[in-house]
Amino acid sequence: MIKVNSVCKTFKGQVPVEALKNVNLNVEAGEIHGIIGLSGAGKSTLLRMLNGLEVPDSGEVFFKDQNLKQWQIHKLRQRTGMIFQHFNLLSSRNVIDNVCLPLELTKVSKKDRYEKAEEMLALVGLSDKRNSAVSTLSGGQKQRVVIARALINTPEVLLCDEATSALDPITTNEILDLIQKLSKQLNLTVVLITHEMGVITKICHYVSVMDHGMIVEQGPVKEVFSNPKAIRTQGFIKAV
Amino acid sequence: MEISMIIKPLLETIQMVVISTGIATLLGIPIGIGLILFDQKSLKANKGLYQLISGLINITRSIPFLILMILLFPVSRLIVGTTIGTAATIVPLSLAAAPFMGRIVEGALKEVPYGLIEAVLAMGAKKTQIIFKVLIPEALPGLVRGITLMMINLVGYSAMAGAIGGGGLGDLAIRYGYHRYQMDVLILAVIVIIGLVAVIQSIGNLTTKVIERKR
Repeated sequence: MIKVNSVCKTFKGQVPVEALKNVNLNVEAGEIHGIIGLSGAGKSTLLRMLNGLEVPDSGEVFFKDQNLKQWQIHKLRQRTGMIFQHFNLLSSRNVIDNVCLPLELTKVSKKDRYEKAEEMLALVGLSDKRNSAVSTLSGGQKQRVVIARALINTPEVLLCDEATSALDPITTNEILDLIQKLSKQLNLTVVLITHEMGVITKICHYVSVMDHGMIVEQGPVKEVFSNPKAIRTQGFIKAV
Repeated sequence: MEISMIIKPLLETIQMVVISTGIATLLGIPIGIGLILFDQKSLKANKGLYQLISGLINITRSIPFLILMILLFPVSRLIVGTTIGTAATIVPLSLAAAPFMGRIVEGALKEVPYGLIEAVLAMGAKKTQIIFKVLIPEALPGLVRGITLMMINLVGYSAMAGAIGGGGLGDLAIRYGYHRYQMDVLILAVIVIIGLVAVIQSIGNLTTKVIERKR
């Protein structure tokens, strides 16, 4: 589904930062792939490259065997949903209008987008909040709205950028259960980044461990965490 | 002094301020959007164009209003056929307020967190959709506050215009209060201007509150 080949990225500035160094990644369809690393390891940059929010300096990114350069970027993004740590909901819209937004961008009729949004809100268990202002929701409810919004386009891939970092442990578990359930139900490929090992062990099939812009270890979660080879992976296990 | 003599100038001032605000807003919104679009860290960064627009705004805003009004006499004559009276004053008022409005729009749109823009970009939005579906709706309370501020400035400018033939309360105060030493007219004009400013500010505050209450 997603292939990243020898990707490098340096952020230019007064002090250039080498965010990604020769990164390779392969994510199969239907898989939940976790990318773990400390802050500044390059995981956000890597995730944002998968939907073209960042462009690599060298190397290639493929979505469904087609180089990202060959995709019309907004078409690609309509086939990938993304959820964020800080929710990024529009305060000028209520819950249902936030969920509708991706369909509004593709000019789906009002009736159809509201029908689909109702369906998505039911899927994330928030039908009763359809007309609420987003400011009245709890963190967990906001993230559910974000998930509904990300999935309304029926994307093939869901990208999760530290989706549970701002949530308490109980809500984190609820959101992870929801992502896992939706992944199975909708045959959704999920790529998530986190700095919490618990998130990886709870729902991921595969893990990539990042350190200083490189993937230092990669493989099935159980295999990687039961026999960690990289010092960074060992560090994560010790810290638990 | 008759109270009725204040009615016509008051209506003229309201007419000047409201029409100039409308025109300045229509001109200022594209200016502000241009500044946001061409800003260095923005959707369509273009340093040269940003500096050009920004420079023109700075120049226009540096010229004192009375001098700008005199400089714009030919433009007023071209558009409304005269350089005196309410209609003629609307031209320089609008052109003086438009760059100010541009800065207000720029400031309000910059307050929208970049995370929101990025989230909507990640949905596949195009640049125009970002502007009209994210930036303007999210910045609406700030824009209303800015428009209120601009309207109050325009009340002051319109009064200044009275010194060189503009109509309205400024004209009344100068003609009667200054040239004919009728202090009571001058004081009444000032009181009415204060009242007008208070009303504009209250309407602005109420509108902002209504918008924010829904959020």
